Amino acid sequence: MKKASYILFALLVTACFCPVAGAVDTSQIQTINTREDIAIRPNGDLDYAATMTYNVNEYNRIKGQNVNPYRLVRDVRFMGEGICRDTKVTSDDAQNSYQIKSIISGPIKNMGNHWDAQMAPGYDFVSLSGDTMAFTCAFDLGAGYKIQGKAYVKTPPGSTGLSWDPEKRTIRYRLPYSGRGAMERLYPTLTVLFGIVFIISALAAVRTRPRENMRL
Amino acid sequence: MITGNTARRAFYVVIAIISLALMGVCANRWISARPPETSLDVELQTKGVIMSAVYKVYGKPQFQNQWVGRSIVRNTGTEPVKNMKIAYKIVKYCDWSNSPVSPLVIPGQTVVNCFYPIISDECTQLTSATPTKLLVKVTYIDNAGREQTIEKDARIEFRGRNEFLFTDLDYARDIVENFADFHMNDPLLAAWVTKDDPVVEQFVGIAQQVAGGAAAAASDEHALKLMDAAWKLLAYNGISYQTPSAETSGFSMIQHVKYPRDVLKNKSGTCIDLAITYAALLQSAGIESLLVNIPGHCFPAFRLPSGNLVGVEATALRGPGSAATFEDALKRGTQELASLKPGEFTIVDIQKIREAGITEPQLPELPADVLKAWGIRNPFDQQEEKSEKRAERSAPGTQEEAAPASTGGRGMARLSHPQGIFTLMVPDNWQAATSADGSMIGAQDPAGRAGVDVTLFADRFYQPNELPYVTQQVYSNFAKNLQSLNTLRCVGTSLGGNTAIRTDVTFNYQGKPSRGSFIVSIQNGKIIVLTTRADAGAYTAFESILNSIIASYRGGTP
Repeated sequence: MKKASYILFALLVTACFCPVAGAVDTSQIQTINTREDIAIRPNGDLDYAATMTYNVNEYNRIKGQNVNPYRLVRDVRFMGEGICRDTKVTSDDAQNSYQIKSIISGPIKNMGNHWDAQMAPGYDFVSLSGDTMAFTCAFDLGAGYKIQGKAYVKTPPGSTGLSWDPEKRTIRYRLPYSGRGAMERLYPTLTVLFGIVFIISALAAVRTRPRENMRL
Repeated sequence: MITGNTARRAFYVVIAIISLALMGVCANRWISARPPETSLDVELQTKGVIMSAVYKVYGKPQFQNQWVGRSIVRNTGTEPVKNMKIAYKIVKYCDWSNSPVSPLVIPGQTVVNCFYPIISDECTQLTSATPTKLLVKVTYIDNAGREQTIEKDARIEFRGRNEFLFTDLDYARDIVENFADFHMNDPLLAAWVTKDDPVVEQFVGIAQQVAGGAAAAASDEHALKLMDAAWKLLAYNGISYQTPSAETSGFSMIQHVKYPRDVLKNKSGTCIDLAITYAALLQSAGIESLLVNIPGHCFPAFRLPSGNLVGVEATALRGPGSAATFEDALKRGTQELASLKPGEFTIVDIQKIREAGITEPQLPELPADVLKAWGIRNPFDQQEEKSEKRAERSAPGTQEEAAPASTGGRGMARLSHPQGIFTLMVPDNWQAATSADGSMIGAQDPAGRAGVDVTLFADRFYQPNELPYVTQQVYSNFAKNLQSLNTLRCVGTSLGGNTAIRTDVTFNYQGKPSRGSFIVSIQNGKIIVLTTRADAGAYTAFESILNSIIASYRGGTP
């Protein structure tokens, strides 16, 4: 069964840092500002970095609850078609923000002649510049929370044909697989070639020995 | 003095040394380079425990986190693989799944694939933990063009249909630090709120009678009247609170949670059982129900038509003569609702969660008169019997009779087929009509905004297994008027003890947009189609009346 797998998960991330639904006064909507930077590697893995900035009162309240930032690592374990590794969560008291860094495998699909990355609902395409696409996002989390922010997706070096399919909400790019490296294939040939050069130059060196030495 | 010969010799020696060094480097790289190989590393992950009650949820990919199995396939070789397929099977409960294809998996690439199985409803027969195996089969074409297969398996366990696992977190390896962590699976409790269970619908039908046919969704007053009637009916039948028991599975807590039918049968339930039962009854009657979980306790809450939330302390049901009054239970529940502590509660909004796709399991069918068999009594039975005797004395044909005395508000009248093929209760001020040949009988409210029609097809003998086909035919007959089908409700169910299919629909009735239900059943070889309808704008006001009509429906033998 075909299933969407999304490359962004601000909703999940933010949910980890929100209190239980209904625990806040819903008449006061709290806005969480996010910035997500995603760099796609040639093998389809993602280098993911996100910053979530709260207003000062909310940030202090969350800090006061002693929420363990590594709950994120725990909850991501149940995420659908994506697994995270090397996840790091830090907080910045000066900026009232949490930072998350992780390497995510799985969400980018290799379709043979191109790669597809489906964006989560709530992300709107803004622009394409070189190898980077920009999105804005806005989610209403309920319970008095909403998040809004920006996301930037950068495709791997050498990728071409970067495009956005608004119907499928999919980023598409081409990065043909070149197989084993050219140098790797040349090593046997180079070994033989240098061997021949060595033999020729060695023979030449022997033939051009000085006469006195030959008399010895 | 350096001769030309010596210089040439030095040049050749330098070239020989350099080429020897380069040859060594290249040979070293050549030798140390990995030979071409195709290698996939397959890891199969499972959650270990499957709750039979929510088996339908596992088949819905929109619940991304509710996967049953997950394969992590890494290409650890030096060559790409092609046409990789991943298939899964749960021994006994789900045959091999369709295989998604990855056309190309390059070296270093990781493919993550989740399994959302369509599980057989056989699992709802399970009453205790039952182990089985999850199998995964990964097939691919290697670099040499040969098909390769990797198989793995893992043990999983189906829990009994009543067993609820509070959290997927494992205390041994996860951070489980607060109430929300422990109650991670609370939304799945909505599956226990079996508002469409015919047993629940029948019980609500009785409650509707007790309430005098109050249209619960019309106003707060009517909703409270129905809540009061349902409470009194539960108390009258001796439903009472019992102390809970729980067990741990590994490092997570599991509780035996009863379905409303279990509570009505056993006449007892824990706080969560009673909350679910009361919520199911009122949700079935059209009142938006919620379950509120707080540390060590659960109680139901309701969104009245005005939007106000009220709570009901369902554990105040303490058996015949000992139950608190509804007013007391309402007061206590509403106080509890007002004193919720931040971070120490979860709210399960039944309607919203059902709309999201968490639906009730297909429970085993029960006989039509099972409530009587369980000793559930209707305080108005005697009056109903008197009504029936009066009906017998009157001439055959479509009849409207005096409704049983009600606690106030609108009374209900019995509408019967001339040959006694069915009966149902409709508001006594509705106008009934029948066709000349008796094949169609209907009733509608004086303003014509809501009504019920029953059509009988008896042109030949229909087999029960023809039901899906017949249903399709009925729908295609009505297709030009149908605007949408709510397929979530299009399931086999029991209506008056007969096999039936009920579907909620929106359609045009005499040019007006309307909502309602089609119930198609085969009884004694005859097709009976029961249609309830109301103008789209008036539907909410009439919903509980239409539900009570359906609940009161009885198929009979000519």
